[in-house]
Amino acid sequence: MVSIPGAPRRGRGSFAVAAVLLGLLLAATVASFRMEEESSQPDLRFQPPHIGFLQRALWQSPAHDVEITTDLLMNETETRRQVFRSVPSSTAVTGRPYQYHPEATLPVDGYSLRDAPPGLQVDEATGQVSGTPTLEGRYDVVLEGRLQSGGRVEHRFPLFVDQRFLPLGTDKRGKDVSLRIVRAARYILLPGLIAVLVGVGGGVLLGALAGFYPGIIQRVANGLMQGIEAVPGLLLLFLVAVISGFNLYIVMVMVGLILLPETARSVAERVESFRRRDFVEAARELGMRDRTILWVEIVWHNLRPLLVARMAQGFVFAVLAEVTLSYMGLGVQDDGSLGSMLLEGRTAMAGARESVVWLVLVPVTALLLVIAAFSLLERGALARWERAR
Amino acid sequence: MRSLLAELAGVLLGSIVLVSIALALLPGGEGTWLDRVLEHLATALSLDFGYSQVSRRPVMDTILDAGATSALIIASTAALLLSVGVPLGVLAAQYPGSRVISSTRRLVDSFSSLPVLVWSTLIFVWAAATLSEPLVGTGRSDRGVSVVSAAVVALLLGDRLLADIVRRVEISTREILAEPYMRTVRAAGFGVRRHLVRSLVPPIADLIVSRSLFLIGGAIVVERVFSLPGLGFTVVDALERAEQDKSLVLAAALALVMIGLWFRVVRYAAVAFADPRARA
Repeated sequence: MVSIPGAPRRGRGSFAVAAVLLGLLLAATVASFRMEEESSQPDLRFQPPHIGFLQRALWQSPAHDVEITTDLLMNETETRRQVFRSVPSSTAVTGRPYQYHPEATLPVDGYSLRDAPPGLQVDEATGQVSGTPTLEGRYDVVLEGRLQSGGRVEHRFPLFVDQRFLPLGTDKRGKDVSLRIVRAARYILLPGLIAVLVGVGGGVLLGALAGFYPGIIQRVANGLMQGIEAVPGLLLLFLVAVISGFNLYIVMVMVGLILLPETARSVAERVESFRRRDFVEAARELGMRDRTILWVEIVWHNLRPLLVARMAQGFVFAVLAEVTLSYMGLGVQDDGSLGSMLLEGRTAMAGARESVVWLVLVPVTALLLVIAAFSLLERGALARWERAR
Repeated sequence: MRSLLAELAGVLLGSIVLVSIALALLPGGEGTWLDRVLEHLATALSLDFGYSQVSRRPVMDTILDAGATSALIIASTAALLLSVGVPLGVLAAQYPGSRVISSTRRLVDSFSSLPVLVWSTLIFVWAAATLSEPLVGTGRSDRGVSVVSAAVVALLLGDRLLADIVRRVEISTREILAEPYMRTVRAAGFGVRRHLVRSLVPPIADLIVSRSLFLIGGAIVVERVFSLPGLGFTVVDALERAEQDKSLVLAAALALVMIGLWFRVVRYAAVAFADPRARA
């Protein structure tokens, strides 16, 4: 027999990682149903992630500029230098201390601070900005330095002060992106389960009967499958989404129906090959009924890994279908889905003055982690299937 | 041939009925549900779709333009799959120990693990951030699609199928090379390439046909992401409007089904060309 190129050899590690990721998804799903809708805070929109390394990697603001006064501009050599090497954190939380040590490349005699949030002061000698901000809002802070050469230099930077610590920043309405990601979990596991129940449950039923009882049942099953496969699945999903008034659960039944033919076909092929095996003959000789042989001996004892793999594939398909529909504007009509977040991020990127790339990268990463969880589950199941063969 | 025609007619009629029922279920419209189904059936069978309020042109003109865009996208993808996937699969089977080939295969596999939507969005974001001229269409069917857009879209759309094609070609090549007739060909001193290529046609054609619906669905997604004026863009645009243009949706849906049927016809012709037994 020719081995399948790329087929997994070991599956234990895949199962372990999948279990961790699926555990997180389950916890997020439970939390998402207990969460309340956040109110919009337009003044605090497009806040970069508060986590330092994410902010440094993803946040580029043209406001992080150094403005040099006319005195200094006369000396061209000095204007070409970067006067401040340091970049301050652009986020702060009310009631928590904030600090920034400016590092100037030119000798500075003294500093002053303008347009800073209440609670922040500057050390006039060193330029260190510190304190505990008390009032939330967006501030365009100006740190002014008096140069020994006689000129002045202005270091401008935006500072978002919020009551909340926002690990992944905020969106265009000032809502916490990390909470939105958790809220999106409600559109993943439960809808996916419906699609899998219809697609894999129905597929197993249809495929097992078609494989075990060739003849009229097989012909009916084939006709049904060809009928479902005649129209592009995504097109049917669009129509069903609009017909159902964007009811996600009805759309997921349709997703299950689209999944059904492939599951039924693969189950039918395997049941048909098992039907001719010796152990089936032996079971018949022992007086077992056909029903027991089909569902217990063939499906339960021999096809379990395949079914787990199909379920994992079904979940991935369902998640992608939901995200795609929401991205197209034909999915769930609130802003909770990963697809809506992606669309929002894409639109915001096209129009924003500052980098808002995290609004795309965060939902993409969340989506990839969900897909990875189910793909690893599938990989583990297929490895077990290979070993069993 | 007769069975192919029966299959095509069955699929086409089934699709017309299914889409007509679905459109009749959409909110709005006059008469009973059955009246609306019959009206859509009559429209589809007479091919008299009338004038579109969305595109402000005759529906057939809109569909022909959009169909050409979608066909270009899908044909570029198929060309990419065949020109890259088949040689790579054959080489992978013939030189299993080669590091270059196994690395290329791993690269193809890793690309294919990203869904089309994610790929498209990331490329869109990258293009918006770095390119001076954005890599997007205008959504207008009279502007057409640039060659660069078609190539990028083909790459996005084909990456997932590419891994499947490489894997299937590799398995089939190994199986074919182990067949007794191929040993005879070698022993007689003939080249194996011609026989190998002919023997590879049926499995590749089967795979592409089985994935054609995925290809069409993917085309709908990338058309929407990049605002390319194809059939998928047209359908979503017509459905999103408050005044849904059902004739336009019906015509675009049938055009998409026709593209799916076209895959079956090409498969039939390719298999008949490659396999004398199929011709008989």
